[in-house]
Amino acid sequence: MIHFIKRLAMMIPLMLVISLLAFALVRLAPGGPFSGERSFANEQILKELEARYHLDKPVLVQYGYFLRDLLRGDLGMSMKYRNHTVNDIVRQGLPVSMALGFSAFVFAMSTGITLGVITAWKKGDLTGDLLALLALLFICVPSMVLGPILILIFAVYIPLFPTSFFHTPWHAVLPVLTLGVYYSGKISRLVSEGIQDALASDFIRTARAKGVSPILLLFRHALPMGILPVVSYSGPLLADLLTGSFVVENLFQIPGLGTFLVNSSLNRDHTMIVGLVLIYSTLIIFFNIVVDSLYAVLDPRIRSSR
Amino acid sequence: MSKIRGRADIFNLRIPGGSGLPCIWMVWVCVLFAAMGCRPGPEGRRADLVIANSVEPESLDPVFITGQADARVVESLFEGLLRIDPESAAPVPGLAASWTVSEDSRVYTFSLRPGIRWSDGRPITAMDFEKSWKRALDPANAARYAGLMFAIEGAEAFHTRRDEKAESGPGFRALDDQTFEVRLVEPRSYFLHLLTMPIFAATPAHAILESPIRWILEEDVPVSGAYCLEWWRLNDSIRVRRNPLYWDNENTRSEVVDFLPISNPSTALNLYLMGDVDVIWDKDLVPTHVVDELMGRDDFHQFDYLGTYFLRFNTTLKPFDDPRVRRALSLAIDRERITLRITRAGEKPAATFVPSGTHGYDFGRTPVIHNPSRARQLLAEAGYPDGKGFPPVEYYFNGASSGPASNHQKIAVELQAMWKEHLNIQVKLKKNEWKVFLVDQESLNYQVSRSSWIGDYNDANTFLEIFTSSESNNRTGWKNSQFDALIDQANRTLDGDARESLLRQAEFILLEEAPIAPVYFYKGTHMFDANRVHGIHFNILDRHPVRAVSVSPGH
Repeated sequence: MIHFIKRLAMMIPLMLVISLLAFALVRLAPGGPFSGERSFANEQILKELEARYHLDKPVLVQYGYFLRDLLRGDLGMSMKYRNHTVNDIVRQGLPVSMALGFSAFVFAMSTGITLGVITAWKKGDLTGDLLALLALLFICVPSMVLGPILILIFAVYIPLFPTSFFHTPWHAVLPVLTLGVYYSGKISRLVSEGIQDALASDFIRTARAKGVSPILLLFRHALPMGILPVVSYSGPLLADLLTGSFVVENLFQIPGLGTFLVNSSLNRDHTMIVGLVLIYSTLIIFFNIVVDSLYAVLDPRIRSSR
Repeated sequence: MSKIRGRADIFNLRIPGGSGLPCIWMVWVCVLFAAMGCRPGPEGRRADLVIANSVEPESLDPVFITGQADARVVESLFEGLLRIDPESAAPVPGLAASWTVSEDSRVYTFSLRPGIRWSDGRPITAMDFEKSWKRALDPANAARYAGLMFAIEGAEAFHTRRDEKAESGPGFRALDDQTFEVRLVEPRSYFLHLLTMPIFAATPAHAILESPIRWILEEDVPVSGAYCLEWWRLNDSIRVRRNPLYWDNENTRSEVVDFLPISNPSTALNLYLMGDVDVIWDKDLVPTHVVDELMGRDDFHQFDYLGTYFLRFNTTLKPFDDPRVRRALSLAIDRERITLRITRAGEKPAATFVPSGTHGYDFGRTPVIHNPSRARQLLAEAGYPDGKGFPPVEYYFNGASSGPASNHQKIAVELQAMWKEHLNIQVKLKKNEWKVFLVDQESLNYQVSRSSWIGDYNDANTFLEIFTSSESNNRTGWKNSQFDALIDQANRTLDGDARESLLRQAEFILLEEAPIAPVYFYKGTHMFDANRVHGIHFNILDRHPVRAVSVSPGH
């Protein structure tokens, strides 16, 4: 527990470094937030506008202003969406991205583990091979191909689900599938390999010799071992799902943060880029710490080594 | 062994046959529904009119907006002294019932409609206009469209803080609650057209005072237009509802209207085909890969549009400081090939910069635009016979792998091939991302660059004016005092024919000197079923007041 809290505390300096890097990098990029197809009446007006966002000051001074506002929980005004603060946008987008990401996570986990177990169980016969092939297929088809195909089949030809937006659980089905399928394929492979490794180990051979039934062997003895790689993978997986939903958000017109994260860098929306990078990195680091700690709880070898 | 069993218990996978796995599935369904629970659903019924409206608006403040998608929403919320007629897009009385013009055509006196009110019940007075316009000109607000107001006396000086100490301020004032006076620098024949633009709209000073930046996001924001803002959900929808206090409320056709901020053309088409969207209202929302198929449909509409795709030459650098070189490159372009093979949506090759169909203006005879032998001759005269000795040149464009900007790359490749074929010159292509491209273009850090211009109002001046010497949108380094004088003179001339002839002379100089090479005129594109959706009339400005649009019930 103390270890967990210590690691959480370590997040603060890490976040500072990340925010400073993001802060400096966006200011290094060519093109400014206020360059547009239509010029301002004169240079002076642009300068005044930039001054309002402290862009006329040295980077470290700007960073000081940023930290001051951050302490008050204020990520600043968006430079592109001039009526909105970054907080406004995060408040609207984050719950959506989280809902999408978590749903896809649970889907990927449940489907992946089920598939992996059956693949390992049926290894050697046709079902096993077909399922292994299916998992491979899941990994190979990118979401920008799968998404439109799913829309075409299940929303346009057979109008079962809505094509876009994210209002009801029905709206979530196709996006969650599109986002989760790749990861379920990956998990399935991890699980089935893990179980097969476990099944080949000495203690299983002993158990088998003692006459334990094959089903019991699989679920009680091999699965808990086979699933450990999935646990360690689930940290980066969650992070991937929460941040990597840009394509899916775009395809299904889902009002999450992914779209803003990508567009903010195209728009040179400095405040938004830094704000979103900060939020995403907090989530990523936090989930990784949680999963690491969980792993320690589950695997006695790690626990005892501490 | 015991430890392993312990772990199995955590996973609750004790029963052989895998009944633990369905448990995980149950969890998934629960989490999914719980997650959905936090989301606001589409309250109530579907809107009466749903519009696929291109990208998310940057703002809904009439002073801040720049894009056409933003303007569609803003025009339904805020009205000015004049508004546009849905059929002709001509300026007609809005919040002003009538006006008088002084003899020298420099002073306009507007009488507001009696009894007009903000949606919160407060009366709309001439003072509101004075405050709204001052706010629009306030340099602190950095309105990109402030330049449209420079026809007004003192407006430019006020906006650029040139007369910090002057008492006078811009030349408009409320004479009393009902009367608003505007003094122009010079007579402007298109002044009434300007007044329909969002930047001239009445904005609620009383609400803005309370919340200067986020006022538009506050609840029940007072509006002067036909619709009130019900919600603005980023990347989801903007919903507006009939404003019962609008002066012309009885002619507002649809009760509730949704604007969907969609930037992916396929998404827009899907929603349209499924009946979730009534109108696709943006030329950028047409999926180019199926355009041939769409062109055969009855609900696919195309019309002339006030926009030109063109190239800018940097006239401050060799070899483009020589007009003969610029003309040669322009004459070598086979525009028809570009519109037929690449853009393919019925665009017209452009021989002039001002689009054909612009109000009160016609260039007359069509100039020759594709003449390779003349192009070679001009290049030889400039000292590069058969392209010999021509310095390395770069064509600069902004690119994207998908969407409307994906054509820029194809056009660039085509141009490169044409210049090689007809002039035997090597042109390198340089692609950059939009913001970088803009900065480079603005600072003349290019040789030849892709450009486009969309007219703000239906008059040739909205195009020609940008190449006057002092214009910040010029971006070519080209300065011509004769051109400047002609534009200036034309804008002071009220007689239509005399003015047209002056503008024609100006455009002639522009085409002869060729700091630009027009390529094609854009087409406006809509998708809607004309049997169901009524009140959309095609006009060259592609402006269609939402208040006039309705969808037949029963569909």
